[in-house]
Amino acid sequence: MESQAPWPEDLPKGRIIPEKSRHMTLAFLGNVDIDALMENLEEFPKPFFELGFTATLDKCLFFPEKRPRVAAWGVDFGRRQKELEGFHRSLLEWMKRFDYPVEKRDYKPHITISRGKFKKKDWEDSFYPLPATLTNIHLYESLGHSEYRSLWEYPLFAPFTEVEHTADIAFRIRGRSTSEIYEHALAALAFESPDILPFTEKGVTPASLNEIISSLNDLILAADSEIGVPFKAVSYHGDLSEKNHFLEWEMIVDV
Amino acid sequence: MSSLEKFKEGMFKLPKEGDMNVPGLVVGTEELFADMAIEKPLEQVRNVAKLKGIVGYSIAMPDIHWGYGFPIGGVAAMNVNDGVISPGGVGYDINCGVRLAIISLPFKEFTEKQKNDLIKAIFKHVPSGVGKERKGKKGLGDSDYKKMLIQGAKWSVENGYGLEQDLEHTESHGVIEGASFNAISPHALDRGRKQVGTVGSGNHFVEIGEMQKIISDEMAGAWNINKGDTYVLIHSGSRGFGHQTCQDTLDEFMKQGFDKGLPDRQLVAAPINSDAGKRYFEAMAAAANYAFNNRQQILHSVRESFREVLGLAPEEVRLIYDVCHNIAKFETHEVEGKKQKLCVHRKGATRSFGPGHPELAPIFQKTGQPVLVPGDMGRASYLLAGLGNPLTWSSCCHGAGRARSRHQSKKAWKGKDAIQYMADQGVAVQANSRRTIVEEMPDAYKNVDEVVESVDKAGLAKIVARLKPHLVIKG
Repeated sequence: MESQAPWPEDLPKGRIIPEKSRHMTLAFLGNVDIDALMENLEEFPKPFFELGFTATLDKCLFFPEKRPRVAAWGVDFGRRQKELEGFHRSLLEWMKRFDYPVEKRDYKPHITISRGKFKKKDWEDSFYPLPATLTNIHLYESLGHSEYRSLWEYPLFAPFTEVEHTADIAFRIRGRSTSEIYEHALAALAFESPDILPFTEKGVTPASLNEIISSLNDLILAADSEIGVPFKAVSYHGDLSEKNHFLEWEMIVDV
Repeated sequence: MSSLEKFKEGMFKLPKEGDMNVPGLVVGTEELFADMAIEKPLEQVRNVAKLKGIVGYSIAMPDIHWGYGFPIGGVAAMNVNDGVISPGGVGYDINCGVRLAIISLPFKEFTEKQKNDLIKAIFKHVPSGVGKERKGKKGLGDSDYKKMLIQGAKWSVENGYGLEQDLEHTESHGVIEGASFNAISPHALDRGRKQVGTVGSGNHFVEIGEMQKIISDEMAGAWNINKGDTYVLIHSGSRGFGHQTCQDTLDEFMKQGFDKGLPDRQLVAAPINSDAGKRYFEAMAAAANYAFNNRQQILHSVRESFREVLGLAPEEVRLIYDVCHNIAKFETHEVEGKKQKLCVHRKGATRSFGPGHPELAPIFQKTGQPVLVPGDMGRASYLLAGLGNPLTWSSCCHGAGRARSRHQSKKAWKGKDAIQYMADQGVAVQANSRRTIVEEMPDAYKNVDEVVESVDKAGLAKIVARLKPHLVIKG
């Protein structure tokens, strides 16, 4: 899946994967016959979601555990974990049906950041949680040297996109419910200022746009009082509307 | 531009239509508006014209752009008997403003080491960036906090953060009367407790440079400003205190249903004489007083820096003026030949009282008040003198206005060395975040030369001097 995050500019030493090549692997196929694979993709299990995910990169992972050669960041999907797991299961079933090898170890969603030699402690010490979005599903061919080519794509709607605003910042937020609009709006704010993540409260389920705005402003208040954030407030701009089976809202943040 | 009708030199009219109570008045030139998306802000000018009790015109300055309810660069005066007061007409950053100080030493004579030491010292003494607190300084105790919010900048001066004469060189002597501690929420108090004397982020800054060009020798002479002199320009506001005060009021006004029937609920406004309206004014005045103290204490830290690096006494860093550009104030103006008390909202607009206005200190009686117009951190800023134009309720522009969004700026400068680019232009920039720098690059703004020329032509203020930045501290 395509992954976006407010990637840190300074990372510890290692063979860093370029930002444009970072992704979350759902399954690894190995060397396969491309023509046959393209035919089999006609029966690819369509996900039952049309909307991409927001997530938290919540921990630093190393593979293999002994003498690791890969540093990666674990992906926590929060309330949508089961949706991802359900899709992952159906993907493995599809692979088994066409005799593709399936890894036996437990699936740990992660994004690989560095390969080769690195100091594990440096990566552990520098890690801090980041927001992320996981969107379009691709069949990637590895070209070596951390270069990938997309051979096939299954598009998903982005949970939020930044839109132009002259003086402030604005986002188009999409969600299937008011709670999801809130979560995706929160992720958009965290993309601008990841420091707000520790101030997020779990279980917030606003039922209206006013409640969404109020909850977001409560978060800004809490974070600004403690550590400072670049936001003045989320404005009362716009309304919730329905588009492409989703709720949509244009969020304007006064900065 | 199609809906604008040429009115006077440098002014256009937006004809009254539908339920607008007054027509719109837009200051500027065809050239300035040619490349900008002006329709959305003009819609906001029309919306403001629909507010109850508005008199004269719904006014927009040449640095107009899309804002929160009101356009940024918007001015609206309301009749105090039956008019409304709107937090959207002031903005989140209550009493965001600018302060200019002069040092009668040529900037060009400073050595590179002195310049380098100066920027480092200011960066150390004046916390900038998101949520930066003053090191070693505890948050204000309730008693001092209360005094500061009621007394305005006088509190800082009396507590060792400035000179007595600074107050005469501050709009409204650094205090908006009528502030009430009881009108402030505990949240606003918490949010602002440790942020006094800090710059903040976004477009706020401390800038050092030279008076590059004197345009009016008469005015500059009256204010003892010479070509080549060193200047300090400070841009900041009421920090989290003001933001929260605005948010609390918006929530309360919405709860009370004051947004009903408005074309945009962000214009939510309460009658000036209602309990809710009075309470907002009391809270806004407290936030405005917070901002006066904030800029006063930043100037104090800048003076400390000049003392450390160049051995200058505080008096040698001479405050010229401090202006608010996000405020609502009660002022007396002439309406249809009669003096009338009005509530003038200036959101991204600067007061520009002309010569002889009774509020001005003796030094400004013959010249009109200084009007400060920051441009961008590369090209220039301007010092003007107010002309007290009655069409705009003695108001002028507040900046260059953005030409490019933050998003576009980030994209345009991705992967490029913005700091080196600025250094090549003769401007050293120090900031907490690279992101702030790329969002605030000179090409993100309109050309301030054209903006101030248009207000000069329109008779709002007279250009006195062009200021060229050399050292910039951003959040």
